[in-house]
Amino acid sequence: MQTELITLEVSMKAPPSKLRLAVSDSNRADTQLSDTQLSGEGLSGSEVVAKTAGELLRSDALRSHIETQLKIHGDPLRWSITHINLSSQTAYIEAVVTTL
Amino acid sequence: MQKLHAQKLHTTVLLIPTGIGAAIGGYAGDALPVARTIASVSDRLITHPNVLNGAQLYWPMQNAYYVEGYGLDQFAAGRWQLNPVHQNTIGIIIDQAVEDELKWRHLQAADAAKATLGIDISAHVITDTPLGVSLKKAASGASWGTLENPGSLLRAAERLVNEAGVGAIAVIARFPDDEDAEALEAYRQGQGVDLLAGAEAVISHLVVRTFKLPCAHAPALSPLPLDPQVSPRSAAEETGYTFLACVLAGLSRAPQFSEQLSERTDGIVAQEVDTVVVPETAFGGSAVMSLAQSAAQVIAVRENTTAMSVKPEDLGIQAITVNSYLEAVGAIAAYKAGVAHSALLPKISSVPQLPQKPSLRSLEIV
Repeated sequence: MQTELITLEVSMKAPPSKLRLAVSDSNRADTQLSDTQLSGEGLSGSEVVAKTAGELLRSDALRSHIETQLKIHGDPLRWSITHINLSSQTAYIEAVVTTL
Repeated sequence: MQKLHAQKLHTTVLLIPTGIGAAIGGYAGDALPVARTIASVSDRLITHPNVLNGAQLYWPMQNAYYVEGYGLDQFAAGRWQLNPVHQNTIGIIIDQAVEDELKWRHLQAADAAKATLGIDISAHVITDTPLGVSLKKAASGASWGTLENPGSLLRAAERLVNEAGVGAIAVIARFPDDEDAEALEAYRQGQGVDLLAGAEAVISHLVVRTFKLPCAHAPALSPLPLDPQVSPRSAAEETGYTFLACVLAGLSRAPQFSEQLSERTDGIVAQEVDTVVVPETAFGGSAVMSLAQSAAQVIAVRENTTAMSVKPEDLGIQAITVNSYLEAVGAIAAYKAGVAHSALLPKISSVPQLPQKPSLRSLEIV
């Protein structure tokens, strides 16, 4: 196992093609958005957190989205949005992930 | 005799992320006065080691829950529950890179915690290789860190869990002494970012993520030469040979974690959080992004400046922005008393009317 510092840019908007969903109750164990959910499938029992494409994701849905994006690079250990470009609605993230 | 109403417990989460140069809480346990005050107006205070750890100094609070940052993120996301305990049996991991004399200083601090405070410390273990801590400062100005041998840390933790049956783990890792003399000088003056903090968080996060039990870290460092100009905010780290006492005190009653939500009636879940208090520019962390959607009150504290620049409005979070923690305490007290925050302001607007909608009758198909 290795620990690695990475940076990442993530759009804060819902995807252009389909509605973005996240579970309504942030206290449920399955709050993380799966890739399937991100593509707009498997939507039952969820709350719409951005009603139309291009709207900002709600903060808990954005957290799940960031965690999903970080998993492409490793297992996220610690991360934070450090700043936001308001005009492009992009979040800039620093993170430490572990890799095998 | 007047009968009291059954009241819901009021729970506050106080977040001051480590390693981001927070003006209050970015140094040596210097947010502890804030925690003590908030704990006095809340039934339960959940906060993390960066807030409560002051090297040799700490302050026991019956209603404060010492929750490591990774566990706090999982709790806030609704994945883990906090289970209060009367006490934990603690094990200590010592980095093989810690020199003999420093090692003995730490072991004596642990013995003192057993004899003087009565803390249950059952065993210590030396890692099978040096952990290889390296400190990094990212473009944002935040401190981060990595380990050359994270596997060695986890093997040591596994031995404590399996062979000594511990319920909480304190880690002592050897940190570089002379990484950035200018940054260290600034830190001792109560300015800039704590360069050690990011790596400390990575160490405890690794253990908590893997073993799902309370963990906190104390860095092992050579003593610094006397500096009469040290800031009061950093002075707690000038008072002894180790930073271990606060860690052991915190871990001794830190709540345990479970993934099975609501299996215990005394367990605490994120839904029970009424108030979350965060520096105004530090809203880009995992825990606050989760809790901001479920807590009744989200309080942003303006004068606790940080190296970050993510405000609640940037994320569409509706927060009460106050200048100081004194005002935050007032906002919590008002909420708990059932008083609307707006009723304490000099100008109070009349109750507005929602825009009229077409009546159901007019929508009926005739």
